[in-house]
Amino acid sequence: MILLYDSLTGNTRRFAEQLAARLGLPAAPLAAYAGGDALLLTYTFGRGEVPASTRQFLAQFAPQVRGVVASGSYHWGQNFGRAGRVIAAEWGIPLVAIINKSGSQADLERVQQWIVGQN
Amino acid sequence: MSKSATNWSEAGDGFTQAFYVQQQAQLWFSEEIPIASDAADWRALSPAERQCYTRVSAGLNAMDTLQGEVGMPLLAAGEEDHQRKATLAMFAFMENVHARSYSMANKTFLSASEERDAFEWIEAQPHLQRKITAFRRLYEEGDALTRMMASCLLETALFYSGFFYPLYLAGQGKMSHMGEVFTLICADEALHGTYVGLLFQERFAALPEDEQAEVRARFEALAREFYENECGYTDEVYAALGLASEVKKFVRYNFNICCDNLGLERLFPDEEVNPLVLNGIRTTGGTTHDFFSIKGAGGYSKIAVTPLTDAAVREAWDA
Ligand SMILES: Cc1cc2nc3c(=O)[nH]c(=O)nc-3n(C[C@H](O)[C@H](O)[C@H](O)COP(=O)(O)O)c2cc1C
Ligand SMILES: [Fe+2]
Ligand SMILES: [Fe+2]
Repeated sequence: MILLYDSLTGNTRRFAEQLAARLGLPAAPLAAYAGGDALLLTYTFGRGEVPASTRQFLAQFAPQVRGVVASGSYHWGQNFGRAGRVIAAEWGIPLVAIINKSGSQADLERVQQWIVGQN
Repeated sequence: MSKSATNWSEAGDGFTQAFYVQQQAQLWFSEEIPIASDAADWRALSPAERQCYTRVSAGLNAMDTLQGEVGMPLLAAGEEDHQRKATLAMFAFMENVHARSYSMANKTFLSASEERDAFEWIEAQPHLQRKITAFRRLYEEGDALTRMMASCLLETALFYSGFFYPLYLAGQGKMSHMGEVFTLICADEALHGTYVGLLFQERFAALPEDEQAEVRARFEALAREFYENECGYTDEVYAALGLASEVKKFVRYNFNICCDNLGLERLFPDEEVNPLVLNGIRTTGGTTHDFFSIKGAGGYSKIAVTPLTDAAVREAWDA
């Protein structure tokens, strides 16, 4: 499993890198994807939207994506981390977690357990 | 001074346009929210509750005024790029909208003498004065990186001792229209903090390692100093309501978000935020997904602005 991230301001990247360090798995930006099972980590943009770069990626590679983690910030209320729910609904990809900004230790724990459970 | 014009068809740095478009989509004015409908709720609050509400609003007013008059204009002046200047200038404009909305609330809920008392209280409150004086100095005497650090700290951490109470009441269905005003302000500040944080990260990444270490240490010292100051402020403003420890938790939570925005190590351990505060944000707005009609939930009368479509936002983002 590869941890593939899309990140504008660094939060999703930091979360993916921390997860990679815990699990000894590779973490890489979308552009570096070279095939295989992936956990997609992305963020929420616009008005609760999926970033265009993530959409482009999913249009091509959605079948390889095992799960999605979406970052957001609680300030956006009902749209908090909405990208994760949109991806789950539009592409039928399991939503693993919604995290606030770069996430908490509990978020890392939860996603780690999900990944371990996949094997 | 530049003699060229702003070209919005150029992608520029690849992210500024998206922030400009987002601020435009979030544009609001205090007249659009019928805050007078909260009058019955206001009368039902105890004198101590009203005093807390009045004081946190007065403190926020003072800081938004600083941000609109000094912080954002200096950040805009420090950038070369037209799109960046325009984006920061629009942020400055919104700071003044924020400050004005506090004044409108005063006019709606307070008598003339209560309003005068609130302004006098600002001038006599030591923690608030210390914060305003220090941040004014950081803006006026600091370099661009210091200004960005200061702005981010102010807007994504130090505002939150004040934001707590209106959101906490809104989460209980009290003062909901004012809650909507605060939620709109929170969403603006979140956008500002993310953008200014990104500008900070860009400059920070270009520094050699020893200077990065120096900046990191300077941030931490500043953050710790003003966390302590915030605790003193919170003790004074919230003690009568028994909420001080809940407020400090919320402040620490937002300090960590400030660290995320700057791309620096978080300063505090993870904590859960009071669910009533989060409920306040959820129920009174923040639905940027449908930003224009949610304001209608409270009888909002829209100023003529064309809502942006998802496609327009995506286009700006693709640019
Ligand atoms: C223009 C803009 C719009 C945003 N809209 C939302 C939103 O609707 N919902 C949300 O939860 N977060 C929203 N956010 C917050 C980001 O999703 C959050 O900061 C996230 O951690 C960014 O991830 P990154 O640092 O990996 O880019 C928005 C941020 C920006 C800059
Ligand atoms: Fe503001
Ligand atoms: Fe701001």
